[in-house]
Amino acid sequence: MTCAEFQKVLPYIIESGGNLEEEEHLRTCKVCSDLVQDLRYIAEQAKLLVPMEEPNPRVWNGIQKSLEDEGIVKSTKGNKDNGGGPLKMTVKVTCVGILGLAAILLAAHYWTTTVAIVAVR
Amino acid sequence: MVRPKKRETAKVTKVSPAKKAVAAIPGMTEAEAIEKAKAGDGIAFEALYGLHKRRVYSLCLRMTGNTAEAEDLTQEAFLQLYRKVATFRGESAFSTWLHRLAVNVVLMHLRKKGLPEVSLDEAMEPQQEDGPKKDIGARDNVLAGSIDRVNLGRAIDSLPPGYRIIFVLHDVEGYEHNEIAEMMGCSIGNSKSQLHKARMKLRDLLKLSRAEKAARRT
Repeated sequence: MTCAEFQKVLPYIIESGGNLEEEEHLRTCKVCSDLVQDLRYIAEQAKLLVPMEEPNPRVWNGIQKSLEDEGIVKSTKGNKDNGGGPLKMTVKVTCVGILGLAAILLAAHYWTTTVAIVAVR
Repeated sequence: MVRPKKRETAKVTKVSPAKKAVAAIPGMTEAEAIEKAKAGDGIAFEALYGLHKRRVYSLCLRMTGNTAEAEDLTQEAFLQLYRKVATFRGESAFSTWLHRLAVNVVLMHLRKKGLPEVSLDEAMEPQQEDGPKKDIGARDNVLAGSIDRVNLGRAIDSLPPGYRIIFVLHDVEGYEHNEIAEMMGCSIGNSKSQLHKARMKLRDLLKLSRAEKAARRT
């Protein structure tokens, strides 16, 4: 068996083992045995690669936001303000303030108009 | 030739993975976190994320070679986990189930991108048909004992996508060829052939790297 013939079948026998002729070639051919040794070494080292990479915290933020947007979960951090948070409170206060101001302006306008009518009479 | 063990069966764990404590919640086991996550408990789901994020992210990163894509795919994998956790019946380890889910997410993404899952790179073939490969560089022809995992990681990252996927699935993550063939929609023979090409390419890259290092020292 030539090295070319051996290396052609190598992908299919490297894990399961070859026939007698293939095993004999492997035993006697330094080039092919070095090749097999290297390939097995690479495979063994690959198995030892531990998952070392840590995802950026934005990954979790994205997950959390998606789940909240879908209404699947409430915020995992929890929102203690049942009113809905500082932003909503600010909006509420602003609206009340605008309404109050409008009421004052309207009242002032009414008072001014009333005084003017009485003065004319 | 001794058949290398599948990675998962080669592990020896003294404590059942389901019983190990979920780091984020003292006193809560993974099994308890899974049951709570099934019920929609966001805190339990976050705990499961903390427990498995590294493995899922590393898988995505190794298969895509791209940080941004890996982050997006990790996010998608965990979102799918949350939507499908109720279907987990405990027939396999949770980590195995999640891992398979993540692999499918990555493969679907790659299919959408139109990347060849099986490499079209035929550059290796002529060398194999011509006879013994010519070794590059060093006096010592074998790699054994000469590569570190950082270099191996870098070499894996520089593989063509099709080679990288098969190599990561088989040699790094421990999937068998019949499983890879089913996932990738190819034959077992094709899976073996692509894996071999990937390993041959890595061998060349690592020998080149070793030769360059030796040349820099002199």
